[in-house]
Amino acid sequence: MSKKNMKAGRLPSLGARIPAAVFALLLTGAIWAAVLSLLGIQLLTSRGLHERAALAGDAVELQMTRIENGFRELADEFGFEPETLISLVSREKMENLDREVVRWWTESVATGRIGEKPTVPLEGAEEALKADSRLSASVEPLLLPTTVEKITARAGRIVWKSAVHVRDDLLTAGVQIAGRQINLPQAAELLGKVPLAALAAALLFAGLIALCMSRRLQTAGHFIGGAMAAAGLLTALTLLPVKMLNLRGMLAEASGALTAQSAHLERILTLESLGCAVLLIIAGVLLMLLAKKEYARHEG
Amino acid sequence: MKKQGKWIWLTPVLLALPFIAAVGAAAALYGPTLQNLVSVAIKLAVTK
Repeated sequence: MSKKNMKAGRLPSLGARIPAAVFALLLTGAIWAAVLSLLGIQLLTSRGLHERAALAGDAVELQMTRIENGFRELADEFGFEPETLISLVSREKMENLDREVVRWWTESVATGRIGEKPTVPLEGAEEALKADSRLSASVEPLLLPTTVEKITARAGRIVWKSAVHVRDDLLTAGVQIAGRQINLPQAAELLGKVPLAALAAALLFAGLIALCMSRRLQTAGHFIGGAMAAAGLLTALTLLPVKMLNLRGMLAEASGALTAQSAHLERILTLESLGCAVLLIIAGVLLMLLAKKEYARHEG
Repeated sequence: MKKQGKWIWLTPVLLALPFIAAVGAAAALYGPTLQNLVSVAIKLAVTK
């Protein structure tokens, strides 16, 4: 840097500003990558996030309506009182099942081993069905035990499908195939380090910008603040292609039960992305304003 | 100072532009294919 540029307040030479601009570009990418990886990891591994989505708003109500409709169809087919099975399902039981299901799949994905599936809360179903007078009247006594078994198994599948929206055979196969290719726990651990690595890279680039500016903080602040604001802008803009992909619409079309959950997930992630974006833009702009003020003070 | 004051707000936009261009190009090239893939995957994986 020339002596002229070393004077307080003067901009460094073009030779110093070009590498600083390149590092600012890299810093933008690093901050953006850190934010996106944080959000991505949360979506893939956060049990709390998925639990909140599973129990959000009217999701459990919809789930119970779906079960009731399934039980009524079953009752029409086999000739028993639908209330016999409907009375066994309560909101509390379904909420517990939803929590267990989220724990089951998040742990299976994280460990690479399919854990034991949660039990469907239909205790006492066989006894209740055997005591159902309409069923006893329509089925021969000898066939009653096998019919009851068949109904219980079908009812269990109805309850299970209301809680697990992704085909569990595909989930099991996917985890097993992925587990054969890579060490899933190690991959999950590595994935958790991506935001930290991106932040470390961001710190490195910020340091390099400061070095290029010969530790002149007011000028370095302009580049660093600009990069932060740019990363915020990019985080906000990332929501556009995600919205354009119309994931929510596709999920709603494939399964009505997923509509409430996917809407809740989308709301949480959108709010978090926008929160990060706004914070980054504010911090970046403040840093740039400070740099500008410093510059004006020296110039004056 | 005036000259720098004018340019200062452009910095974030200029820094974001290459990334926006890259994402835009990728979306234009692979967007429809990705959308079809995701749609098929959802239809296959989600229980009715």
